[in-house]
Amino acid sequence: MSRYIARRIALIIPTAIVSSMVVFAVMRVLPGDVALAILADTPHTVEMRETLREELGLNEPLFIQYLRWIGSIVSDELGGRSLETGERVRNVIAGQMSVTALLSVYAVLASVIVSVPVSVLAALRRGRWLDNVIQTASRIALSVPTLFAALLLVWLLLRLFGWSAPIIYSGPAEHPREHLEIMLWPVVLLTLAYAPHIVRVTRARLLDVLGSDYAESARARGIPEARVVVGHALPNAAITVITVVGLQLGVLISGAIVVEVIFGLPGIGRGIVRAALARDYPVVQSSAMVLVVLVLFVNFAVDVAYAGVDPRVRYGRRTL
Amino acid sequence: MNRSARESGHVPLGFIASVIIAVLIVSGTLAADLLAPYDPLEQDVGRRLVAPGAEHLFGTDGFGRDVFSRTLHGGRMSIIVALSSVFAAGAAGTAIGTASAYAGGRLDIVVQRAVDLLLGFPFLVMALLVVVAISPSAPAVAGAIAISLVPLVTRVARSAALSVANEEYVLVVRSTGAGAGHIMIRHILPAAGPPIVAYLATCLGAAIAAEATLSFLGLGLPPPYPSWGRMLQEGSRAYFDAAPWVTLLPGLVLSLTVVSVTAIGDRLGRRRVHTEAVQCVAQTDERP
Repeated sequence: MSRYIARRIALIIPTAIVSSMVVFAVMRVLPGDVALAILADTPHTVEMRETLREELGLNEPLFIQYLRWIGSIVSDELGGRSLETGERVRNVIAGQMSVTALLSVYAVLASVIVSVPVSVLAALRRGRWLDNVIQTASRIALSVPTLFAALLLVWLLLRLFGWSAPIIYSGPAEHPREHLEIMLWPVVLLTLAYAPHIVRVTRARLLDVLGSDYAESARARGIPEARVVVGHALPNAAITVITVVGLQLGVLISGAIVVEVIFGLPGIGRGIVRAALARDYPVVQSSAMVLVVLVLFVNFAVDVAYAGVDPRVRYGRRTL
Repeated sequence: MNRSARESGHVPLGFIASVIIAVLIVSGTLAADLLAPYDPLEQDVGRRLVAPGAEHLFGTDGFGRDVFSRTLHGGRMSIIVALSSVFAAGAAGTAIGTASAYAGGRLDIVVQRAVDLLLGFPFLVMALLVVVAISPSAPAVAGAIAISLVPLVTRVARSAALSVANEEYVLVVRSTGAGAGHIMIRHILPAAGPPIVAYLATCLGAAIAAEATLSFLGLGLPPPYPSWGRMLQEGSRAYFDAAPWVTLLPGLVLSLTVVSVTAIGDRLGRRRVHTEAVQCVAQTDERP
């Protein structure tokens, strides 16, 4: 197991390096001038633009610019300073990171807790109306834009309970009650977007397993269907649940960006949008990098969990 | 949809409804010039925030502009941007995926690694990066969405092409000395194409949602031309409580479009699951 973990960690490093090159390339190599984009809203002369390019180090070779950025990430500067506020990017992101991390963890937990029983129910009642309802509902929930779901929820909460999101964020340690209040609805929304992915795949996997010989032999021994599902099929489907959690993490992050903006959560998603609006590209670049590394680490955790559940993975290629 | 419906080839009600809704909305927005009862940009301060009724189907916004007309016009922009991004991503992804599956070997490994890597980028993060790099404009937004879609399409196209590339008829054509381009275009794509197209329909739903999201965040098309996302932004910021229709009605149309287009893509994809070529695609179940 430890050798497997070591191998996975060794794989993360080159992936992270190449990802950083992609982030950098998208920002610099695509047509478009960072200096021009920053000055776009203000009247300026060619000389001003040239001075800005010089100040930002944009006239240096791309390779040098890239190394400088990486250097700033590896040292404790993390991406230099914000163009807008002059604050260290590291400090900006550190504060936001915990909010987004908590939000994601809550949403993943809630999604698993909701989707596993629902998938079991659908599989037990396959082809009947309850199954159809679950399948249709999850297909719709999966495709409704989080943007609209969030706005609708905000409006309903305002109308029905006169509730609007607290302006000040509260951490879980100091103010657990307020923390719960501010996190509850964003988590509900993310669960709505995320859980259907798990339900779809888990239901299909459960049905596969239920058709297998060993489920058949369990039935032949007189074990009731519900116990076959929960005791025999579900442990087998656990692998699928873990896989989907990792595979669809991008959905969660994209959803988190929208939800953080609408509910005013001071997370990294709202931070990256603000920075993008202000053309604060050091913050955008480094925030994107942090999000990508977050995805990498969750996938690493998924792979380890996977290997823990299924010993075959430790020795060979991973199969679904 | 249940098993028996699928086997009998019976077309379910939800699918018919999706097609009708999608056709209505798409044709309605494309013909916005003919159908819109008012000028979407014309302001009438005397008629601010009028509730939906006979005169203004969706009411008016804070500048007295007709929300229904703006929804039609805004939808046209959103749909054109989404269509062009899906078209671009479809062309690029299919070309890369097919070539990678056909060539195999080192190229295939490189492409697979690149796709895996790019899939680690959350959709919205990638789109956001591109929009920041190129200043906001319709082509920039379309490009941003296209770039985020390419790895997904590539993966689907690769697995669809891979299942065809080693069929005997392809090997026969190969043995006659036909060129790689000819084989891919004339012999592999016709068989591998349908699942790719079905997947692109699913992508179109995602692209419409992504465009709206970017515009909502202020990173989409610049004002004053309406787009669904920006209508939601304006409506929810300024007078969400007093005039919810300005936000919720365009939002509802947006959601109906995305849900129905996605459902059509799902259905097209699933109908072909029984042909062996597509099983790999159906199994990935990956969503943009």
